[in-house]
Amino acid sequence: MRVFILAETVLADRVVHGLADAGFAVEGDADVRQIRGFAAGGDIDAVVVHESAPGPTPETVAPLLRKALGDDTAIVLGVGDVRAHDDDSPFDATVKLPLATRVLADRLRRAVRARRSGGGDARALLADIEIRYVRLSGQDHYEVLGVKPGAAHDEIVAAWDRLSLGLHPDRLRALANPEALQRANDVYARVVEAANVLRDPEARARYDRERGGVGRTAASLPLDELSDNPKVQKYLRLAKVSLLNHDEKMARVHLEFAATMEPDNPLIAERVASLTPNEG
Amino acid sequence: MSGRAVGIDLGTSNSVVSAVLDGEAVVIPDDEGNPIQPSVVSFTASGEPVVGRRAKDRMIVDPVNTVYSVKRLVGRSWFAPEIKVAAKKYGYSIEKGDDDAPRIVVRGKRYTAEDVQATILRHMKRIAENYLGEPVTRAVITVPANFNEAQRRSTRNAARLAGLEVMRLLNEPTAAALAYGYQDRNRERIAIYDLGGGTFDITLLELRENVFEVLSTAGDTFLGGDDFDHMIAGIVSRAFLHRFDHDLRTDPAAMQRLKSMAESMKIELTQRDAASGSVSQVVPGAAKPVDFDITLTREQFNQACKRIVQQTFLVCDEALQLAGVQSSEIDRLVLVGGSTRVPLVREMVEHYFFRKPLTDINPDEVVAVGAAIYAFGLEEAEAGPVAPPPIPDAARKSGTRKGPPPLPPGATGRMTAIDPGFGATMYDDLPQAVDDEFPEFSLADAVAESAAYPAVNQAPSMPLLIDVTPDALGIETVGGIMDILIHRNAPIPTRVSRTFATSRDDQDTVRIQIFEGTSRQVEENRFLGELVLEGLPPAPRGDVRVEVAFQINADGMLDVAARDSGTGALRRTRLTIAGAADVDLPEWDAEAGEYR
Repeated sequence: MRVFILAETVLADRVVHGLADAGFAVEGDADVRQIRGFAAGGDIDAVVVHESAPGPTPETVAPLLRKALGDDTAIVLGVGDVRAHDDDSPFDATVKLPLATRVLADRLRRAVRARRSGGGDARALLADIEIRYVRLSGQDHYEVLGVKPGAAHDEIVAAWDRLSLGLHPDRLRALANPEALQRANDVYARVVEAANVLRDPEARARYDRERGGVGRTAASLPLDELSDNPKVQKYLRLAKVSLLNHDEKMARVHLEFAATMEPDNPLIAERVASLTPNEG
Repeated sequence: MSGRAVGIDLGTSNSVVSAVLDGEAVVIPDDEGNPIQPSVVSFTASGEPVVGRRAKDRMIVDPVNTVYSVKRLVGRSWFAPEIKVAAKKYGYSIEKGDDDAPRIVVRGKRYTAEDVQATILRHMKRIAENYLGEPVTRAVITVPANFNEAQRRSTRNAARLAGLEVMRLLNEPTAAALAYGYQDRNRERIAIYDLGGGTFDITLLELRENVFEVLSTAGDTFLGGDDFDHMIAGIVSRAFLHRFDHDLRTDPAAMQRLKSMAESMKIELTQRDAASGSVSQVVPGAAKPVDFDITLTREQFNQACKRIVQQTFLVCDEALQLAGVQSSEIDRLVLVGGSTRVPLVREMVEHYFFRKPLTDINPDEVVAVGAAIYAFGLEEAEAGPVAPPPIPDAARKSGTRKGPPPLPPGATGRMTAIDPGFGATMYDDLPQAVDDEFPEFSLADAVAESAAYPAVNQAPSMPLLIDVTPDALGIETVGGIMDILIHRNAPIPTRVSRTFATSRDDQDTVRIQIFEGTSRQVEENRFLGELVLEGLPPAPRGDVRVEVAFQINADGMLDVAARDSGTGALRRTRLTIAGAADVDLPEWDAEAGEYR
């Protein structure tokens, strides 16, 4: 980054020294006209105009610099004490000098970034929120998350992550429009509700039964997906292997054991029930 | 324009402030170079409070006017058992206030716990401002994961009194997870074992690239490093009693000195196999003070303190069970809090989790670092879409164009950041005049029709933290039964509604009692507060129905909104929280950008 420090000589030297060590291309002087020479060497990213610089006040100098250097250069006011930045001033930021080099470097980089970023366009985001909000009332949990009723657990978690990254309040801090924010919160509340049900295997099974229609039944699922608990999955996998080996007796033993570990799991119970008639 | 944001770990024993500079979280030192500030406030004769290291030094010299561990008092009613214990044990005076919250009485003045926390926060604010050279007005402040509504409110109040806007109240273990997981972003399960001076928290998280989700959290609010000090002080006082037939436990000033010595011995035992201390004490019957030297070996310390550490594992079992995970399934283990330096703790924790903990980041600083990273992330999120226009009419006439519009000349169409699965196409440099150039285009329809789901400009480098509520929330129903609205460990923000109807003709208020806890009996849970629906219109009973939405927000705090079931009009509510002191709070002046 190329920076010019306009301040009284001793201070300018000190600041220049520090920033040079931090890898900046930096020059300093008490005379504003020296900027011309520095500018000849390349575009200037930031100029710090300190109160201590002799001659016209920083407020006078700023507009002239702006005209000369263009819109991409950050013009920063340098002061001797801790002071809040005045948004109505012609400056992009206010820094106290002298200041620890790494703090000053960070401050200057942020001022330059702020100067040059235009901010993004929220309209697409707002449109998206609006559409989701309007559709909410007619949607079931699967539709809210944007997944198919037979979706695997991983897909549901992925959908939850995706929608959280888009609609969680911490992600929407730039949204100044309070109605939009409220809509987004309403949509997300519904997403949370849907995810709470669909991410819990028992709740999901219950929901699928109540919902009727094509859902996940114990029969349609692979055995090791009947539970999320890895301890239980161990026995479900043993049951699966037994079935593959055509050993239904052992499969039932493993399955029943799994059922005792999770007595409230309706899917396992269903599967156990479905095995019994087959047993010779 | 808001001022600089920092992260503050407001701890029971120590506080730390940190900020992100050039992409790196820096712990900010005071002008003597100390990054850790003791959470101690000493009130001198001149009236000016002294905070930090100098205040801690005054604990021995002026114990009556030196306030410490005030975090244990925050958000608690005078009648809470913890306050009773503190009032007896602590060197400074604690009395009952008119609002039933405790008051700290020092040099004739009465302070709330918030007042003292605010003094500490002001100190941290000043340290940050001196270092950063600019005003600091906003912060992410951390709280223990199991802090309840009243404790969170009190913390927010303290911040306001100190002139700080709280961007987010962040749970300490989640902050620690962020500090460690932020760089790598692998898919893994991480356990945060946080043994501070006063509290123990265990939090289990799952990191899935850009989302850090809390699986479960459990804690013990009266279990911490202080208990080790207490144990050592007990050993010394018992030995003293045995030798000199004088019980030091009857002498609070002596016990204070003993505890201080115990803390030094504990720290020495971290490095060495034995530590020694000496007590010089006036004993009845002796002409001059007796000198008593004692040596404690690490073996003796371990024997005495093993049970304290074992208590933490009971809490860990609880958290693992809630998450449906076994201790061996945790991929990464992080220790937080100075007390985790104790070798006994390290050994026992390694054994329990079958792995060595990560310790690259200083356990005293890791929480502040995480808070600073998140503060930076929230600032980045704020820099996102700027000055959005009002919500477009979703039913607007559709244009002839399918998919996103072609780029205007000169635009490079750089897209930013991650894909949230939104039907949104965004280009960094699309000019605002899109509508003018493409009059037939309906953004809403284009969005609806676009098949691809590319990026949206939302804080690309910052992961999202999804935390959980530490306790169940419910209301009292007929027969003293707890109607649980929000379950413990539910991801936040979360919202539940209930409809209430008047039970008498012309009833103008409805009172709802709110409780925290998982028991089915309301009396076994903790009373949180009362919600009053006011200004109900006169009508036959049952005709007035109000739908109340209870929401736990991202800060883990309760928001309540009530609407008339028929008209949907907002109803007036008053929520009073038990345990939060009646403080005279400054109001936020949005124009001036500060508290007045």
